Amino acid sequence: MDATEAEYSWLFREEFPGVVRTAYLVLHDQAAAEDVAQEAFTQLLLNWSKIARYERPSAWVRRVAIRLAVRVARRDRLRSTLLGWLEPPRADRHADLDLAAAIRSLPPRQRAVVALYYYEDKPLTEVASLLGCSHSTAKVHLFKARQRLAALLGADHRQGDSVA
Amino acid sequence: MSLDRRVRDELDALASSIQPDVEANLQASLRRVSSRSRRRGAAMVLAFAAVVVTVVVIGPGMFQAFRSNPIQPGGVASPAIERLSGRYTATVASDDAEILRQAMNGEWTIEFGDDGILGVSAPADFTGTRTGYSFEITGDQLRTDLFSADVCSGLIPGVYGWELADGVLTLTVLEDACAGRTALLTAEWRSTTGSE
Repeated sequence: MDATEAEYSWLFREEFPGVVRTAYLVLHDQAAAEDVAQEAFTQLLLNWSKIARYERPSAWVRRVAIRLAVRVARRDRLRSTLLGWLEPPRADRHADLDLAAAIRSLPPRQRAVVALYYYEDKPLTEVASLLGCSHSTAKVHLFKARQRLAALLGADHRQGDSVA
Repeated sequence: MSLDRRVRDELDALASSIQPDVEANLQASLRRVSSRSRRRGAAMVLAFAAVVVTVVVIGPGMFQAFRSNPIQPGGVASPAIERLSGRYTATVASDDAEILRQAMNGEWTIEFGDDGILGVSAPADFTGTRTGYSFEITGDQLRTDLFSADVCSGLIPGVYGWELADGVLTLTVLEDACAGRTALLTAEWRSTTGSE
């Protein structure tokens, strides 16, 4: 194993589970999330000579993964819409089914904002940077997502974080 | 419990239940890289050979003429053009300086005709010329002189990779010196043909 592969393998072991989890919160499908994360890491190794010089290669791979996840989620959503049927509710063994279903009903970009803001605890400026949009666009996505989640979960979206 | 607290707690629970097999994925990733590196190497050899043939056989003069050749619409539509032909819409909402300068934010419609004519419907604030453009398809590449009248004046046509899947047209810039055209064409285009 050469030095590049050793460094890459180390970074992969450190970051891969976290990247998969974030992608999962956008895609709600573990196999698809692993595929997206694997593709992002593949891109990383293919561009290793350049990316390894970055201060945080892990941030680069996360950005690639989240954008891929949004793209895949959009494609899946469009396919569902075109076929005219909704995904049947999955037997999600993990968490609150209401919340999982509510998040799945959000548009992919809003799902990504929710995952980055609530799960990864990223400030909105970083969320915007990861998604490649402006701060105000990210803020609008978050506002709409909260509004929708509150409506679906029967909560008050005005209570909670003060988003700047 | 506030909505934010609830979302945070439940996302944590949802995500922490995902335990990917890191080692299996690592090996799969290394195999992917190895396979792509081989393909990339082969593609580079082929590309190099093509360049050599182009330079030696066709000559630099012909090459330049090809690059700046105006697109000639008309003729028999190829299967690729038939597949692409139709109307697509995209909403541009960008902070990109060129987009803002050209007032290009808003809803766009482009129509690829069987005859190679590219029709454009632009947001009201856009002041550029909207007619008289064309395109041509060669395999998985699309070449167009869109906006050659003003936004991209003096620049050669842009070349893009194109992919149409599930009603979404994705254009990937391969060669284009015109930032405004690139910013617009690389938006997400959804087919509206037949939905009206």
